[in-house]
Amino acid sequence: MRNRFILWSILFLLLMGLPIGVPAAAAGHDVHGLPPADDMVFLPHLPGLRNKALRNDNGQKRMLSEAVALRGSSVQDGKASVPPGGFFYLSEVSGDAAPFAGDPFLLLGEQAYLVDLETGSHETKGLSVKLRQKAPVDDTGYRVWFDYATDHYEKPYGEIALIAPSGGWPLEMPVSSAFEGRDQARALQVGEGFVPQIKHFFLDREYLYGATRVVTRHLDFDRVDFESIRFPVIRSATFSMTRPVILDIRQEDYRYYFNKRIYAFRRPDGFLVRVTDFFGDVVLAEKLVRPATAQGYKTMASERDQYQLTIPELDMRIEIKIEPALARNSDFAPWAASKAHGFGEGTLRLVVWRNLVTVRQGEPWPLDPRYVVGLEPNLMTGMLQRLVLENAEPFSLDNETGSIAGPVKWSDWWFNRPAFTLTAGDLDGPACHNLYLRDYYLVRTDNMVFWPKEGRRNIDFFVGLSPVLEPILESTFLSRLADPSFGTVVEGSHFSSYPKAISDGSFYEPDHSAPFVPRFPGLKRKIYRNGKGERLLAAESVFIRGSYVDYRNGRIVIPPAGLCYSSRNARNVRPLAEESFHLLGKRAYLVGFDSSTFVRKNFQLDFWKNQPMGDDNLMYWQDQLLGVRNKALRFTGHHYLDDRPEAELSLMKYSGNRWGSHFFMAQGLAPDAGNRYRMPEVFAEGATWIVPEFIGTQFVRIKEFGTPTINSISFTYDKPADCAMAAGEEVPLGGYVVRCERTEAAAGAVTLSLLDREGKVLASKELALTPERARLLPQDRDAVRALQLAYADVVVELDPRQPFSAGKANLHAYTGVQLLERDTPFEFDPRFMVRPDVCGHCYQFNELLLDNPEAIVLDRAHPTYDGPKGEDGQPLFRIVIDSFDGEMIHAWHMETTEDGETRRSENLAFQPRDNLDVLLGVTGTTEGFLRLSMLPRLAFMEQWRTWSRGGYAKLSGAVNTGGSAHIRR
Amino acid sequence: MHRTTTHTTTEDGFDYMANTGQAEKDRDACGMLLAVAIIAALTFFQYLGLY
Amino acid sequence: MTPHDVSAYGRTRKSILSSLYGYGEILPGLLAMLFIGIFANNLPGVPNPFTLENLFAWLDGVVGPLHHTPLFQILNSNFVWNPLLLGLLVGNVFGVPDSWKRGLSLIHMLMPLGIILLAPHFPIGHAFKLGLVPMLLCVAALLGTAGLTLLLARLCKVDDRHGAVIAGGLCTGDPHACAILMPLIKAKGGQVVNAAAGLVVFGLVAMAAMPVLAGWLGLPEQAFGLAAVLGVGNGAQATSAAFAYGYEAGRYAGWFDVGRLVIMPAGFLSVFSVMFVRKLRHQADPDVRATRGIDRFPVWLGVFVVCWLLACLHLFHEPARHAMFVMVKWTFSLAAASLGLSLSWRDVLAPGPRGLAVIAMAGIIRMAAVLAMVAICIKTGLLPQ
Repeated sequence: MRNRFILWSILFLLLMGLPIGVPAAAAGHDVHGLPPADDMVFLPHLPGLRNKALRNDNGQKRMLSEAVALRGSSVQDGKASVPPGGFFYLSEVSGDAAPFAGDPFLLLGEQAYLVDLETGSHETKGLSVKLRQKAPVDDTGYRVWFDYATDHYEKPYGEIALIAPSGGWPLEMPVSSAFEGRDQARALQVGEGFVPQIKHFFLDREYLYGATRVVTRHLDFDRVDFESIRFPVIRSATFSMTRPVILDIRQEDYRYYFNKRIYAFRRPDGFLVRVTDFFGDVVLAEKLVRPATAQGYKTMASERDQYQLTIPELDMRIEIKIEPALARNSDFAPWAASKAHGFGEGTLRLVVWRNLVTVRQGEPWPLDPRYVVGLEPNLMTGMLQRLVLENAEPFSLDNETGSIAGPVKWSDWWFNRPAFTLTAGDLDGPACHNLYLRDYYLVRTDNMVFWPKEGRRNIDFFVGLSPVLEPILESTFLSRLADPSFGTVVEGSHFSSYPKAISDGSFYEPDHSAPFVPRFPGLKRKIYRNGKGERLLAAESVFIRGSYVDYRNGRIVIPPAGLCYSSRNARNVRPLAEESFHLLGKRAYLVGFDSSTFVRKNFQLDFWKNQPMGDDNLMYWQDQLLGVRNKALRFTGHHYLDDRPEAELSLMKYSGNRWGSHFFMAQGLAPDAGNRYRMPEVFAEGATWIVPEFIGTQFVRIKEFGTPTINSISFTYDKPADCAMAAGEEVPLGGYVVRCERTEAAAGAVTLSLLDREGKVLASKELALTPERARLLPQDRDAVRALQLAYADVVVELDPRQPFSAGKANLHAYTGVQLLERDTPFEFDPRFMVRPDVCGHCYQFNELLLDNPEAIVLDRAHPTYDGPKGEDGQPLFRIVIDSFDGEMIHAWHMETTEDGETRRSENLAFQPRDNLDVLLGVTGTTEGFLRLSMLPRLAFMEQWRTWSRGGYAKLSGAVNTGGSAHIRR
Repeated sequence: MHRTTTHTTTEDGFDYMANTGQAEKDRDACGMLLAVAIIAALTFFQYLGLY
Repeated sequence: MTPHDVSAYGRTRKSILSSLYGYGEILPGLLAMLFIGIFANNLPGVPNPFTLENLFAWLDGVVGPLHHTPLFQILNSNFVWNPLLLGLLVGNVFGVPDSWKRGLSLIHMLMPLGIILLAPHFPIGHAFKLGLVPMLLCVAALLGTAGLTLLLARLCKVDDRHGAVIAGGLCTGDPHACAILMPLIKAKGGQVVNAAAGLVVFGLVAMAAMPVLAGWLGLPEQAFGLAAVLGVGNGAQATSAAFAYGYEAGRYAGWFDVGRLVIMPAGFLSVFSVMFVRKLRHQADPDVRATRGIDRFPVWLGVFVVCWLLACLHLFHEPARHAMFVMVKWTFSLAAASLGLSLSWRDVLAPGPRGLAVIAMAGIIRMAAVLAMVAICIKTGLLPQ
């Protein structure tokens, strides 16, 4: 239901058809919050753009990254034009950077530290946004995007995102004005284990995300009206461009700081810090400073001032740090190795920050007025996440003035100089043929025009491996990864003495370097109309997960549940609407489904941090399984918000995909009590809910958790017949005859009987569309069944949209109905098991998986394996190992027979590999896998294009933490 | 300060690039034995799973 | 070597270890090699950022890639060439102190050591994926080039050691092979460096010419990948030439390169065998200098062949192969430093321009032959269109 696959497919088709995309915005538009052009070039590396993992004063890991991007450009008449805000540098930190934590931050290549922040919030009221529109929020540069709307019980709910000026956003927020709020979940009365469907559907009108709050007034399918959108802003930030000077000092004594003395006198509520001249005669500054420790509330505006003494004219900021010896794995002061606070010896530690640079939101960068500063907070914590320096004035490049210097960088030991220079050359008419970026080391990128003869119509690009690229590429990443220009991209494996060996592939995702083959002849991808006339995309994919080479025995192993066939539509498949999906290349129609709720009560969930194998070879013992082969609950992240723990949980599906929603919860945050943040105390979206008892940072104790599960579906390959019947009429159906006994149009009821050829009544039922049932359609199983008469392999159902016309009942008749039951062998090929999967929000059929219950072993004597076979006994595909030396797979491919011809994929081990993991075809499932490995994949594509062997950093998706974490969906 | 003669020959007539006779055989043998030892050790350790 | 030395070694020899001299005697030379090595290459285990390799990598970045290939790799910067250049520079600018020379003689122990350690790097099985025809083309190009070059060298009256080294380097498509042939052929250091430099220079010409010629023939990109690997000089030059033709050609140059790589030992073994047999036949001829001093088939070369066979039988797994290659890097870095130190500029120029002429002639004929063979294979359907 949350699946946005149809959007992808439309974009995908569009992009496949257009060799060159349309610029995102013509020059002159406000480009804030918009992505670069669809055909912009992404290069992951330039030495001057750094990627570092550092630890702050509290020992917390911070991933720092830098990037340079250009958007909204166009090339005309030999001139490339860039609007204001089009050319920008950005520096990003994972999580956030806050005062008093010694948080590192990169500033144009320099390793700086954030020391102070002035924060606030912005609220806009009465904003209306149309579907797919990205509407500006006042003059903040932010945009609100109404990405997607769908329905439940035929009532609308939607997903919106708040996009920062750089183009980044942390998550999509589901909101609605038509359903019950999340707090109603507390009132649910259900048993434990498998219980019947619940009728409730929860979706709040208010989305709470720490410092961000979105309140919806009204949402329908093509427009949303907001009551209020409030989000944090940062007014100014102060950085120390170098590491601090750290002085251990005894109380009532002084230490020299260059030519100054700094005294510390003990007072009941802190230390009186006094700065004097060299001889101690002239007092330059004096203030009572309290020691700063790790408590988060100290960053509040009302508290901040008590913990530091800043003397701008002396370029000093003094803090007193309490630094426990156990936090020694910190880049903050790696040489500090004594007792921390030092009361054992009567000493304390002064931290003197210097080389202070203060930047203000919307004002010029202090070293270069051509560039304007943007400070983007983490929308949850309100602290600094991203710094942007963007061009203040529009500019253009032509063959005479082919270069523009980027912002001037601060330098500790060398002169301040531009951090990078952009050069565009060989501009003729509407195309640019040469484009590169040169950093302050004078190193340049490859030509960012990949086909110089043809040239490009814009000069948009993104250079640097920064996670903000993930939301920026939201609409184009799939078409980028599926781009066939450079053949099937295959990443070589690293061969080790200890290749991963997985005993069971359930809940795993394919290797992050698994080749992705977007189009494979045997796999269908087609748009069908359902009974309502809606166009729905149905697609198939195949993936292999958890496979490995057992080199000691010279064989390749695909573990149980490792070879998966998946059929999935752009949204879930609904009954009573003659909706179709694919089953092994054939069109099948959904007839019915059997779902229930799985409820667990009173259990603990460990924080998912101990990954004992440490090699992407994960152990799932910290997950809580919800039923067998259904879903697994995982505790993936936490923050402190005003010192209260906030937990992030997510649901893993059997397919290895994450369910779209993230479960954010924190207890006891109250704005009335002075908290800056608000978070939901329970989670409830659709029919999945969590009522926590205790939320901690190491574990969460859950009082009640419920989520849908699907047991079986019924379908048919035969096209359903529509018929209208009046009382007394008879229609043959399969080997039977349907007779309409009675119609009551006013009551919405029809009574049908099913007779055999001799006229004997085999079954009889009144199908009645009562208002109560209509309210629950099409998602409620019982309401659906009440409209269906089923016997043996035939089903007759009443059309819920228009049950009667001209006194006749409108019926759909299905013959040849078959049942696909969870965990049973597939009818035509018992080597495979049936695993239907459910939509997480509701109870409907979402995906059909066929996977192997036994391990598959391939070696030189057995180099092929047939995929699942259909009714005709023909396998859908075949795995063929062409060259395997017992350790390295040098060549293998997938093949299928189409029109009597064998169609092969490209070699999927073009560079030698140690596993057979692969993604074939595009469905929401493969899209989910690709999303988790987006950045490393895109980075590798660039290596593949030029056949270079440079290393690349794994910033995201290295492990399946339930999201590449930068984009939580 | 070192006094240098040609690049390869010392004052007492030792030429380090000359490699003949028994010295050559001995050097070859040393290299060969070391190589075999290294290959054997690395292979053995890998089979034992030490790296 | 003077009789003085022979007798001196004979007098002091106690065991084969005597050829390595005493620790005190070799220490200065060993340190010289070590320092040149660690300032030339990013050697595994030495976190020194100030290396020639990094300097070249930075310059590559400043200049920008040439058809997606770094310039200094096209100019053959690698773990043998870098210390050799640095050694050449140090030796010619500062001279080589006598105290270093005992230690520098370790080169003669390091060369067989490095060459044997290199054997696991050539498992034939890695090339089976290419299929029979490309593999046969690789073998034909290798043996044909070796024979042709030796023949031309003789016709041009090039010193047979120089000619053999050229033949080895040209047929394997890797100037490394020149260094590997040095102890086998008993070539002079100057001849080796001269040959390698000539190969790099000719490689630049071939790199520019091949895409143009293939364009006239209208070769498909995939086939040009193969032609570039077989017809251009070193690996980076082949890649650059292929990328000049197209992205797919570049990718397939990487794919076919393994075919050239795994049969490399056959290249220098065949050149050695030819020269060795020739010497046995012409013992008295003073013009037959190659392999002079090698009386019988060297045992260590036999060990190399055995290790190569074991590699082809997949005795060595990938992690071990990597570990051995790390050792090769170390060994060749030290040996190349010593070789660089041994040469004066004059030594490098001494073999004269004839070698380059041989390279050019053989190279041009090979280019034409490779393009013709590939084109014929395509016409006859032996290679995919």
